[in-house]
Amino acid sequence: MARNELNPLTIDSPFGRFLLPNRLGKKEDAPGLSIEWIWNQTQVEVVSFEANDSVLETAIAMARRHDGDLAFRHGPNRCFVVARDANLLPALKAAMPVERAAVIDQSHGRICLAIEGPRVEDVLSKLFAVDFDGEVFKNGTGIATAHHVVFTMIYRESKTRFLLFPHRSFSRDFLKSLIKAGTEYGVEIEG
Amino acid sequence: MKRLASGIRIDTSTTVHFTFDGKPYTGHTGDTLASALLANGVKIFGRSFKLHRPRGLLGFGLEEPNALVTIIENAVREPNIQATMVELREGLVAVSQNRWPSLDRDFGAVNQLGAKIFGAGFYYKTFFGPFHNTRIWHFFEWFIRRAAGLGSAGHDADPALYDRMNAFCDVLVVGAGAAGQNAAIQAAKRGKRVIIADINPPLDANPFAALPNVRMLTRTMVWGAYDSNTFTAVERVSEHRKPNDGEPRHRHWVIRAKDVVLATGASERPLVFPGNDTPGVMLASAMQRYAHDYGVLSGETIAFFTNNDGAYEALRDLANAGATTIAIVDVRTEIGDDAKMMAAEAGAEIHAGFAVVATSGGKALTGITIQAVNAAGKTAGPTREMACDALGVSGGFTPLISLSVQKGAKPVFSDELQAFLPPALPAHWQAVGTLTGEGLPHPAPVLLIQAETPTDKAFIDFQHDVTDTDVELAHREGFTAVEHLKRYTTLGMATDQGRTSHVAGMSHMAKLLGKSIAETGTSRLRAPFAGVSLGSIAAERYGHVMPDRLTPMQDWHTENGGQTYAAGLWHRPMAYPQLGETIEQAYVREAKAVRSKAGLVDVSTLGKIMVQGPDAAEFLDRVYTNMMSTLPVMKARYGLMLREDGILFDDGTAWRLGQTEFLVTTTTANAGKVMEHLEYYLECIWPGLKVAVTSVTDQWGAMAVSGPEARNILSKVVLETSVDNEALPHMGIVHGQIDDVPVMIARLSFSGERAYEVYVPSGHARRVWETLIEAGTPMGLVPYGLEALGTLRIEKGHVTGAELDGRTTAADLGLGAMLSKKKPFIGSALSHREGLVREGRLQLVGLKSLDGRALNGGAHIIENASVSEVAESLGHVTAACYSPELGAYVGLALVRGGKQRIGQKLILSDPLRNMTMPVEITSPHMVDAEGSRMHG
Repeated sequence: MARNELNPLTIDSPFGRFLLPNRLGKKEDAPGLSIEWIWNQTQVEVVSFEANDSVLETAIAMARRHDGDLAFRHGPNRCFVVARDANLLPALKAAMPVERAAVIDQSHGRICLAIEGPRVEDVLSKLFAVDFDGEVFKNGTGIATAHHVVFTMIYRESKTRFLLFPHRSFSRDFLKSLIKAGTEYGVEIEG
Repeated sequence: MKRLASGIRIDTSTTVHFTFDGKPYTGHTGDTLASALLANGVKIFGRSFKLHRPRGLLGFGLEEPNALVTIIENAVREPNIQATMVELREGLVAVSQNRWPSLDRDFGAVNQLGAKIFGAGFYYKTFFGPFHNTRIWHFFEWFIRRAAGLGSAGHDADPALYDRMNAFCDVLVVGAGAAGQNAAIQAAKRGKRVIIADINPPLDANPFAALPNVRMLTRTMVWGAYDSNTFTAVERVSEHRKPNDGEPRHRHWVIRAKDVVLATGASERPLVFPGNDTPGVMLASAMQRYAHDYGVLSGETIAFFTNNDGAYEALRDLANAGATTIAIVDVRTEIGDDAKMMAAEAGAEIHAGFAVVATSGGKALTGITIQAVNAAGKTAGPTREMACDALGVSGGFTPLISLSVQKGAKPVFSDELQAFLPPALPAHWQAVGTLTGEGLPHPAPVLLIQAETPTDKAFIDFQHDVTDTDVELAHREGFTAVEHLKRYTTLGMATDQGRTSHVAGMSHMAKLLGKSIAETGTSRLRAPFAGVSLGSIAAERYGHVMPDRLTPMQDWHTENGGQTYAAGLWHRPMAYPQLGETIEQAYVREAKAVRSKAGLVDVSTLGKIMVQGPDAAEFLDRVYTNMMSTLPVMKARYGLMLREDGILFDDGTAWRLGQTEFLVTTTTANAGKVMEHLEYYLECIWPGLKVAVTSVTDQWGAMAVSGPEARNILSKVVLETSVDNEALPHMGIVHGQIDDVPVMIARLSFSGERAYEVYVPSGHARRVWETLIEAGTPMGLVPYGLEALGTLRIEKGHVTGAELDGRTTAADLGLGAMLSKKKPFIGSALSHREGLVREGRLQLVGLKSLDGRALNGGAHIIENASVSEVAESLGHVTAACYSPELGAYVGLALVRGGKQRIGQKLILSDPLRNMTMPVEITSPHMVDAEGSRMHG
């Protein structure tokens, strides 16, 4: 039956024709923001049944083995791990004792948008009631928050680059909100 | 009027064109509409609210009560904007309000003849008086409604953009005057992150240019103070020019600060005397600022009237700017040396112990009359007239305390300043500058002049035409408390929020009560501090209220003729009409196909929650009414949840995927609520349970294959498992693969047919959907939408949100057997309450139309349709459709004592649609009541 071979990390775009290379807003300067969809990831939530159980540190360590992998805690007993390795999920399931932690695959539940640029903090501040100042929201950390009802994980890679993980069903609406918020400063969309 | 060579806010090398009431004018970049009109010699800026008296410019900024205009931008009209707050821009179109046919000749001025009947309480007396609801009342109502209000908004949608900004800082400074700037600089030097907001446009030099930790927000009004040092502000981003692409008109700021410095300053107030609203009477400080900031002299021959030293500085500055300052009338008999010196420098005669008792000129001031006044404000003796075309008045200064008291603290009255000051401020708050009274002149306690023989009205509140006699009337009629006084007379309401009138009004009432102003008190100040655009409050949600939520198959639906609609946040296909089909024809065709062959429906919107942990089964036993701990692995069970009060909360299924792992599904509408419910019980009630709940609604795309051919279709495409009755019986679950995609298949039926829910990782869901369509089409499979889904479930008597309406119990819906007697569960105790188990409650039944007409949801069921009696409702229709299986219009209804009424013929009454029709009460299970199809 297979029409073409399935790569487990290759997913249908949730954006369809709404994510095409484009440049919006101010064009005379470098864009204040660029937006890129990152799709080839495994995303997993790990929840320990006891707050601050060291099992979470194990999960985080497992996810940070390669460049580009990331993991952060977003509560006393929850962490979110992301890797380009399709084997992360079974590895975590094997490593996490069921009496101490739950492992939940979210690879299809959330999308990842990388946003970068000099105005990235301003754009995010339009959408989230979060202090994005670099002294407060440090590189390599993340939080779970919401833009209205769109629950989103946010991870800071560098001073000018963040990764956003909203739920997949809100992808298009969220992308539109992001573009609308950024157009004032100039937005470059990488398809 | 005279335009001077320069002003600190204008660029005299530029020319800006604008119109006011259709007449073209010019001004300079940096002008406000008010300053430009003043420079062009305009005297009348508006007409007063009730009496339509001609009104000129009184103030300089937010305190302005008279100069309200409508700004027109293409087809968009924004009324009641203070001309003092409108920055001039090329092509600006402004029109005056509350006049017909023109400002100069206003028919409404006839109201002045009946001024006595328009006194305080006019509306209350009119609406509730003896004429209420009589023919006379209705005759005048039309005129009153036409005349009420000021400007009118247009009907066209505002195309402007609005957005929001969240900001955090160590120190928020409100107001960038000298005190505010100093506070910001000091904080910045201590290394603090500072935001300083000021309502005015920026001046050329940024005083914080060398301080990167200071964020200066200009054209920004902080208008609300809330808990946890949260402040709201509105920034006029591009109102003064053409916006750049993507730039908002206004930006709503939510600022969270650790420390707050209020430097909001003070605003001058006028004195109350007969004829004090004649165009040409202005606040002394406003005259001073127009000259200094915009290079406009408010008159050529100017007199002043004051009760304090502040007006002397204005007098001196205006004389220095080139005005002829003829006199200063001061209610005080003792004048300080500094003030005397300034008057002498200006060449103005001081009339100490005198008051202005009349003005002349009507539409433009031509002169004033003065008379000796005593310390109580009463005048007597000979009068003297003097010619002038402008009168600067000063009744002292009112600190702008709004932000300091919005959260409920009471302000403190200062006898020295004759003004309310901020109360003791909370920790991390500080008031600085003139807001604290520092540096403000001390006025004599004379705000209202009681002329010996008044020749005209003395206005306390210009915006609402409230006079001294209105306050006296309120006093006579018992409206003496300040909040009553405000509402009865409208003193202090509307756009200026009493900035020029409040203290004078309180002072007069205090005098009438024989109390001090402090004892009389002040009305409560609330957010917003001044007018705020509704667009800015809607912010980024302006024009787009709710986010759109899409299933993984959304594009397939729209590409294949699916007509979608919003169901909550989700967009879902209602049907897939073929060429020439109506929606009803389409859903009937789709439902028929499901009953006879097969159908595929997108059910990705169902809530999906992973419940994991050693205590997961125990937890589910507590939250579901039925037992889940006995559920074998790879089996599913239908379940009900109750609220604590015993009312039905939600229904769904629980799939046991492992010994300690369940997938719980919920209704689409209640997905979020169920998640909150579960989290609440885990975190607050049973924190000892080792359970984690995680939403995976978006992780899984879901589709249901239903119908007699469903199994055959799946057999063609599913690998790695069998789907025959042995491997996958009713309520069974298997893991398999479709087109290389790992899937979970549960045999569940909402339609009543043999059916399978296929759960697919969302990113591959469309691929699997298309595979099923491709495999099933030769066997008669069609995609079906919500309308057909609804039809199938109505035929089967399955319940949804229409029946789980927050009032029904499990027994009401025929699900009482699902309440376990072997264990307690949420809601079990209260589900036995007398009111929930009594006879005669509404019960779920089926309905069948007896005359071939369609049933309407929401219609009532009654016993007879006699027009002479008021019929008692026995219940209502919750859902209705045409049933292709039964060949009739059918529905579900909640009917009192419904089970006992099965077989009865009753009447459906739909007064909204003026329709009655005969119906028969049936069992809710109208098709395959024994369930043989879904078990087969």
